[in-house]
Amino acid sequence: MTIPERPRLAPEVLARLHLADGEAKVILHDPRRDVVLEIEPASWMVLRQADGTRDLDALCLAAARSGLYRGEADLRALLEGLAEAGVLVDGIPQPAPPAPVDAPARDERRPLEPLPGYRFACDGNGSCCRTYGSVTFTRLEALRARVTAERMTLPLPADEAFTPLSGGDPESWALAVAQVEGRCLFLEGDGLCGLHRRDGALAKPFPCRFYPAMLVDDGVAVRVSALPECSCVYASAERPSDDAAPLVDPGARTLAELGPQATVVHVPDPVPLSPMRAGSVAALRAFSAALVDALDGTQDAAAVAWGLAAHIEARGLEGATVEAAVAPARDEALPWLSALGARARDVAGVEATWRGGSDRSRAVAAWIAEALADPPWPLEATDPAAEAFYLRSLAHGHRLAVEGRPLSHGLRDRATRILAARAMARRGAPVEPQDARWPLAPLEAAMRNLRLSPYADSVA
Amino acid sequence: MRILLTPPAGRDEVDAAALALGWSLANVYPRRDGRPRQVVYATGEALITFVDDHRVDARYLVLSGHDPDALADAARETLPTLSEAAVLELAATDRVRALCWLGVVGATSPAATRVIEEALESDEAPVREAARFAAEALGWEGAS
Repeated sequence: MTIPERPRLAPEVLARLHLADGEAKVILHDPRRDVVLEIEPASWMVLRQADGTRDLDALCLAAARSGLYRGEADLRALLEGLAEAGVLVDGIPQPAPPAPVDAPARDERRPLEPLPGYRFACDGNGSCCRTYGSVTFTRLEALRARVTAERMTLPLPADEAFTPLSGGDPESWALAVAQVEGRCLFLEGDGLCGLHRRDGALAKPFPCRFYPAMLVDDGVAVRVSALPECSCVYASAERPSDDAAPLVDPGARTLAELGPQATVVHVPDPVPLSPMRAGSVAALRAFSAALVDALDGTQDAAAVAWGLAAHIEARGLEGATVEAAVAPARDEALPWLSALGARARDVAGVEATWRGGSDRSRAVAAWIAEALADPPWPLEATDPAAEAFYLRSLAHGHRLAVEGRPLSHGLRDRATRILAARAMARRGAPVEPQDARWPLAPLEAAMRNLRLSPYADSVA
Repeated sequence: MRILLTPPAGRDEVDAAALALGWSLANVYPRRDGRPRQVVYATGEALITFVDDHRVDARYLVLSGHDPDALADAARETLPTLSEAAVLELAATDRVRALCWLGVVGATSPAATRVIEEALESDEAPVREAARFAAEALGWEGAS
């Protein structure tokens, strides 16, 4: 295999430092090809020096200077393996050509529209801190965390615990912290954040403080909804505790007041409704509002999502209300459930090769795969209120319109997820008690964190 | 002082020896036109240059420093090397290569001197050129 003359990790590749079953390793995940590679931390230290300016000789010298040189053959073998996996590029980054169309501009004056009546409280269980592979820090946040960490006992030195959020650029602005058995490095044994405990909430990186809020700009307002990936989100909807609070600062009225770190996703205009139809953003706003108002837990959420998909494909958004609910027949739902099950099985197999035995994500992947192997039928709702909240939150946040798929496809995907969660409630081993109560939460998190979401692209 | 490696030993074997003997990689000079590729290792008081000499199809170490003899002994214990006597034996079957390699090993024996002197008078141009290379490598005056 030919090594690039001046190799560099492709900017799309996610490098993460993990401590799994006590063994330190770096996992390289290339989402473009769904490739997962494992390398030793020492190899990662060498690879970090492959910044697109050094050829093999220069890399040997850089490794020698760092005390990491183990011979040219060793380095060549590392680079050949990575080149064969397609995760290396040649030379320094080139300026990107201008985008064919202007990306929507961030409008700081946009008013905020939070999910009506929703208040959120974290239960302090730390399950979100044991779920996500990328806990993101800015360089400044990482620096502060390292200072705080001097007062913590960590299994890895905090100085060496950060990798670039993507690619191998050592100057990267955004960093991801190491994981210990699938948990954030700074999560302590009692489920609380060590940074928060010592220096207050502001010691945590912004995404942790902002979680689980998600912002979507529809051209009129910025919708604030909750990512339905954590059991606390569902528990708060069911019965908000006394310390529950709005998802974002209740004093904030516009996007500007949330600060520049608050990431906003834009609804495409026109909105893709189905492979043959598109609609206006105004129509999407009306559709979302009607759905949020109508969903009260008395309907079957899977039937609502499935029926709406069929309605939108046939007639667009006109008349697309909960009245269109039609439960999928077994032979309609089965291809979707099977595709999700197959994807979960594949991912569970890959994760088991490198994650430790106590890693929550590994167990979640296995649970989903087990629940969807020959899924039971019919799959009746066990918690209609939670499912209704799930759809309400997604509808309010226009989430089904911003995931790169037509709205109807997104609705079928979500109906499938609801059915899958019902299967999980019946079968397999819930990872923790709160997962058994709200299986949609770990399933939704796995869609992003365990790369299950592309299953929906494989269904015609 | 030069030490000729037994083919096919090369960079990988020298890297392994460097790790074992505590030599640090210090520099790499790529092959350019007539100049062979050189990989330089260093200890606290010596330099070891591995030369991948494409001109004479030889891979050898050049040792320089305070006590090159001790360094050479360590290298010979760790790496497969060819002695002057072994190169002289090669002259019977591969005269051109053996002549060049006599220069590389810094041959000093009367037998080696005789082989080179005879080759300098040879009617065969490749043999004469190889002998000239050896004579230059050995620092013989007027060899060129």
